[in-house]
Amino acid sequence: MASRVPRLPIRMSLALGLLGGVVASAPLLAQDPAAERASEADLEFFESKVRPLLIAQCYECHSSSAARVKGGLKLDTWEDLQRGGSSGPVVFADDPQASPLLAALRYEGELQMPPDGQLDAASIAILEDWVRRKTPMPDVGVMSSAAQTAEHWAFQPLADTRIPAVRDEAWCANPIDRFVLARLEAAGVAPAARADRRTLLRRLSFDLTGLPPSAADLERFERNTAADAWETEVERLLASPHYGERWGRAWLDLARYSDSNGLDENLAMSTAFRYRDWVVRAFNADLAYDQFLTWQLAGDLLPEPADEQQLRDQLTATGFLVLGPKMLAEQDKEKLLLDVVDEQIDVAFRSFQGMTLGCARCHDHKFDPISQRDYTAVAGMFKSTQTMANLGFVSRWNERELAPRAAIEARRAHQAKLDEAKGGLKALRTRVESGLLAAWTADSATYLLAATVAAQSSLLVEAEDPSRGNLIRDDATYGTKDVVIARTGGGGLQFAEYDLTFDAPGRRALEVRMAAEESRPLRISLDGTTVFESALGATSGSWRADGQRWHQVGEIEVHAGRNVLRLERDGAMPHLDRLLLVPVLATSEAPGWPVQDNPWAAELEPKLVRNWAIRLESARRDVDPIFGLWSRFAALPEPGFEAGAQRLTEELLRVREAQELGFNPLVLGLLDGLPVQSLRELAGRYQSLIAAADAQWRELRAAQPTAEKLPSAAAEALRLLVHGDEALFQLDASEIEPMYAPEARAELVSARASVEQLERTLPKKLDSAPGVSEAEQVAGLPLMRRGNHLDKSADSVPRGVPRALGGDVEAAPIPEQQSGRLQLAQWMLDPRHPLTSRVAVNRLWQGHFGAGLVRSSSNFGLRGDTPSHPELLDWLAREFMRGGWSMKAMHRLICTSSTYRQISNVPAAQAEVDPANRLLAHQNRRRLEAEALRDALLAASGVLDTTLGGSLLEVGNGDYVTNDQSKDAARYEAPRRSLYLPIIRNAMLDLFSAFDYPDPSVTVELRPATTSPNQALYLMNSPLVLRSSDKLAASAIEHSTDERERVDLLYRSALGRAADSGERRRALEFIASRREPQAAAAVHANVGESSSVPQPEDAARRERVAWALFAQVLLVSNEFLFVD
Amino acid sequence: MNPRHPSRRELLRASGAGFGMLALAGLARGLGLDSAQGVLGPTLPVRAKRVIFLFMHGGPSQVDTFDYKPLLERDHGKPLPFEKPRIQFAQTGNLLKSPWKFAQHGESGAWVSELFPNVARHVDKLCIVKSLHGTNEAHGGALLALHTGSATFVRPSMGSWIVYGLGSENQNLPGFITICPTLGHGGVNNWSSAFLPGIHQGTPIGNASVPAKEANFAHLSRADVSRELQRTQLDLLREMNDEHRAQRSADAALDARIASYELAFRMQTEAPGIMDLSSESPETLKLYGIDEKGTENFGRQCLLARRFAEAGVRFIQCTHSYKWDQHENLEADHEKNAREVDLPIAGLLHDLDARGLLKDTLVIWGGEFGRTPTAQGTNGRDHNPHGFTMWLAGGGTKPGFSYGATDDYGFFAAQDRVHIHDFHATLLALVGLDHERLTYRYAGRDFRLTDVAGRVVSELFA
Repeated sequence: MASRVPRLPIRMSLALGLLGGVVASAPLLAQDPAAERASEADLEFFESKVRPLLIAQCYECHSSSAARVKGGLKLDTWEDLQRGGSSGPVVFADDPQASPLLAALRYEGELQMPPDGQLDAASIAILEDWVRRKTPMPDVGVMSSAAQTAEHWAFQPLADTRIPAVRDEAWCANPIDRFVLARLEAAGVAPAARADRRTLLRRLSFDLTGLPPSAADLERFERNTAADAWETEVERLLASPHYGERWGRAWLDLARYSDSNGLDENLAMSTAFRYRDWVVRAFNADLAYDQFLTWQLAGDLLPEPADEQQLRDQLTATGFLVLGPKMLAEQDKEKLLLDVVDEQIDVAFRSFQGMTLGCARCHDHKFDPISQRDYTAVAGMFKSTQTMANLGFVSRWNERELAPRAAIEARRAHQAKLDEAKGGLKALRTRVESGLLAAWTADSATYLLAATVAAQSSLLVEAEDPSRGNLIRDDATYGTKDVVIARTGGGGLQFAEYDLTFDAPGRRALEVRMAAEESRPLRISLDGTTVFESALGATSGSWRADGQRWHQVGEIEVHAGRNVLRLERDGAMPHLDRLLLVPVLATSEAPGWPVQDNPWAAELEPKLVRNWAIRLESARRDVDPIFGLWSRFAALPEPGFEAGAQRLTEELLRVREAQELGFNPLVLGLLDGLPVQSLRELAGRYQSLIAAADAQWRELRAAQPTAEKLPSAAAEALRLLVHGDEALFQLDASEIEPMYAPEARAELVSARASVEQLERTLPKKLDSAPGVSEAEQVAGLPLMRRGNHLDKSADSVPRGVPRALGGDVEAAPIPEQQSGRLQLAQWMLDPRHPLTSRVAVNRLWQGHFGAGLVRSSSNFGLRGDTPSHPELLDWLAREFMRGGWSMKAMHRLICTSSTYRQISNVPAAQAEVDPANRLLAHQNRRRLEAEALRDALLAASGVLDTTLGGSLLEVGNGDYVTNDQSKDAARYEAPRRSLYLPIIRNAMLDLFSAFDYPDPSVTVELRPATTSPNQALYLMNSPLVLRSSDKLAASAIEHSTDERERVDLLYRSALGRAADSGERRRALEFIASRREPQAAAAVHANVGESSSVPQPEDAARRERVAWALFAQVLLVSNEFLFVD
Repeated sequence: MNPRHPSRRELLRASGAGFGMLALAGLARGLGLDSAQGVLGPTLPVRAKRVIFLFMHGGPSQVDTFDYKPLLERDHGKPLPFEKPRIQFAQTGNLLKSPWKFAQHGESGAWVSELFPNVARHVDKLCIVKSLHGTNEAHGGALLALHTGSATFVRPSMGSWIVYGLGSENQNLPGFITICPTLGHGGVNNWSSAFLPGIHQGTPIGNASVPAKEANFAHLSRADVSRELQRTQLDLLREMNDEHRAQRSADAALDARIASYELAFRMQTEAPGIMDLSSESPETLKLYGIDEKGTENFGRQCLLARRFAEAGVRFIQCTHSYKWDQHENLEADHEKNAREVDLPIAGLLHDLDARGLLKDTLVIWGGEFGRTPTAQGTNGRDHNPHGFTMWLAGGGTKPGFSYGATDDYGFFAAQDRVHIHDFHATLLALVGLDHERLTYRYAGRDFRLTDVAGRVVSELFA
């Protein structure tokens, strides 16, 4: 307490309060504001130490946010403390040590707080210290003292202000000027002079379109003597499609627009651009602000309009609620949802209401009249809104199909039919093919024997051992210890040659085992003659060993002796593992594996023999847990097989215990019992084993349809021979279908035809964009202590608006089955709502002056700025609504004012009295924003592509843009306006991050304009600037052989004006000296190697470099970078 | 903030409006023009003048490195005898003993597994904290929490806070440099300045997909013209900007822009020298393992970190990117990872010490979380934010000291728990900043690195 407050009245006021009234304390406090009572340090101590404790430990029962205030005691404000509770005051200012609060905390008396366990010593010490300091805390606790809130300017109704009278009528072009001039005259400051025409048009062009004026524009305006010349330019630029790009971008800052999720999982939001393009179109079409707001908060809740484009727009606009960054991999999914809601509330209320509602998530707002209850009421609306499509491991945001409901349903119904037809086709195949599979499995022994014969005549080559080439042997990165693969480096011609020797000429089927995540087709030649121009372009989903598959290439004709097989590609090759060459008999009609002359293969399917033979060929070389054993026996010489088999069996059984062979234990079990008599007999044993695993599988699936594998790893390995992805009995559809029985084939043809018919007639995939719908469950939320969703109150708070913000505007009741977003929008747009229109016009003002009338343009609360011209703000807000919420009308008004058209120099008299230019005695000089800088560079060098709209992000929706391997898939080369470059959270374009582009994760009301050496480095050395300088130089050289004309062209292109004679002389001197041999020598020979500057030859090149060096100076000069 | 400089605080507060004054102030602060102390300056005793953070992205296992748990070995294969956390990233099974042997090292007798034989030789320099805990069980959230204090919102990185608080010691280099940072799991948000002035953002050198050998500052120089030629270009620019300036009233933004080109030119001169390791002796290269294929990459990062530390950079981060995430193949992959960093880290510790830098350079080693002592599959461990280890060295920390403990199996931080907020509070205290007073006003609220929490673990101070 400040010393001038006598001791007695405090207790008296407390006593009075307890006796029946609280009036006594009010006047007392009014004389004793917190600022005088407590030092800054005391308040800081309270905020950092005490408040968190009160919130955590006391407010559940002793706060206005408590479900039920216990003992009548609240601890929200200093007032509350003095008032105390039902058992009297809790602190004694005159004798702090005797305060009942301390006794309760120390558990000294009967009253012990908190009741469920004493605080730790450190916390008690903090509260003791607080009491010792005489409980400093701000007056504005929860609901800042009601009086303060009631008086806060932003919650007052819009004043019906009169346009003030001024002395200098002539200066005023419209009412804005009268408001401004009245204050200037009162302060005795004269407004600044009107800027010259070049300055004005450059300012207006950047302001309204984000682009510099063309030389022709400048010339036309300077020559136009008509009285409305300026108004004509304002209209022209407002009608330009680039107006929407410039002002749409300003809105996108607030809407934290981005093309990727950012935060933890940076997935591409590849349809978000539709929201961006809608914003641009909305500005260009001068969509009324009330609709602009409503569509973004509740476009999905409006009646479906007849105009389909408008329907698309309304749905797209709700992307505003979805674009926020989300912790998609958060595994506490309820927390994820509540964080999404919090983000939506924060962005929606800061951008539309200038209020920081997010502060009230964990506790009542410290300064503004927003209780945690208010927050929870609003949160209920957004929680009743579906923003997430699913809550999977990496969850996905909601997308809306942009079409009338009927069209969506029609497509869905069609899709359902198609799915059903596909299901039928699949069931048919499964039924027929499982029959075939059973028959083949029953022939396993014969296949094994036939393949053994076939394998003997084929040739298997390890791809990593070419005779020549530039392959890389990889046993670590993409290969493994067990699977060595061949891959190639980056660019240039990559090749591998294999010398293959054959005893006799003949046809060979070439097959290759490889992994390929993307298609990398190869050229294949034999002895210098191309046999396949483009082969092996298939993909397998991975570069790694697990993605390896056999691919058939086709047949080649080899000759006896050495043949050179060459694989080559300009660029990286697929990851090769093996090559296989299989003889094809001349008489065979079907290409593939020969079965003629193969004693075992008579009745077998040649393609299955191929599968088996490939596997056996591998088993001869590598550890194969299943067929390794077979290979050993197959290698035994025919005469004396039995004796050899006996010895082998004994040897194998000896090492079985050590498991050194890596054989499947069930396969080793084949050796138990009678000795192996012949290969044929061993094949029979294999067949029984495979059949047993298959039978076990069928049984398991019958009992447990969702089972994915057999419990025993050994049996599972055998099952995979029959059913796995690379099972020995696996055939491509084209290979297996000819084997169907005739009736089954007919059925197949008909089923496939109906699938194809449905596919053909399926309506085109509907465009989609991030957007919301109503959630399945619509309900209010419970209060959460400290925002913790694990600590909820029993009852939920009904959904509703934060009423204190709306003056006396009541919200319409929220229907039980609706989230309430529409009612929220309508409440904001009530003409009597004090915030909505003020916040909106203040933003428009800010865009033209670099600062708003209220400088904290997203915070109109008690801790925000107060307006410099409150009457003007209110007049503009009313004018805005009177004009049907037309934003273009406001631009027109502001830009045609004299206030806007002042020069940006600071009058000496004002510098002292009004350094922040709150009186608006001049315009504010501004640095080009990141986008305007790049666009202006591209425009000056003549390469800017002004196409409107569309996406430059070539990443599938929901795919990773930057992944955990730090690869960035976004591309920024297109010379389109910067607005259209991908905005990738977590990995912003360097130009953007250097030049204060806002963090696209959060809503940004005003970009800072910092100056850093990074910016200077960018301007000195970046490819963008160097390329632009070079292009500009080239156009100057082409323009004329007269060097003075070239200089003029450079000045006009870069700065929009001609050079004066001194500037021209200086430019020519600079360029001449750069041409001198010693200077030229300083131009390194490697020009263009790292940047993309082209390489003209010698003298021409030196000339161009000299001009480019000068052009760059213009492009990075302050005259270029700043708008006066 | 700092009673000696109240007016600058006001200046920065006003800077939200984005006028020229901010430009100059930001420039001056970021480049340490104001004074060697920075603008806000330390308010607590300065123990460490700079920080090197060796970040093991993915989450190294505490029970396989520095947190020895004999009971884990004894009870291998048995179920965890207490409840697992409410939220888990994946399901884990029974206890899995460490495949590596532990031994005591140095005079302090700290236990280190055989994964870190070289770091173990320096164990008496380490201050090992075994009771770290956080809340987020996924990489993205945990990375953001570790770097910014928040797993939910975009907030300034700890490096940005430190540079905001102290400025840079070097006029020609950024104050916060991150070498080969990851673009995944929060990416730039892990070194962004968020709402602090952009000058305080981390300056990346390459990223994790670029080998350290090829990493460099962006746009540091142009290859096609010589420095002398560029100088003449800047002289002309200076002349033109001065003329432009003379026609206008006083404007700090214009002045700052003119100055920034000069500073950039100096940085362009200084930085390549620091990036060029060819002046280092073969012995030094060997010390950091730069002569060996496996250790070359992280070795370069560590040596660069030392060179930046010498040059006065405040906060330097080296990232061993996304390698430590062994949900499976723990044995082979943790071994490979440890081999890649063990020698370089030991080299850095030795080198800093030998050059007398370790006493005021704080070295921090750790990941975004640890791993479960229970098995995922047969040879893997899941994410574990509930108890893990980081160690500090130098910079006024207690050498040869261990603090805190997990439970018997290494799952939960149990004794002297250190939350990520506490870690941040302690980090700031070591560089002389009070985490409760280092605040920034944004959106109507004063923000801190430690939100409304954080305890300075002064037990770690020497």
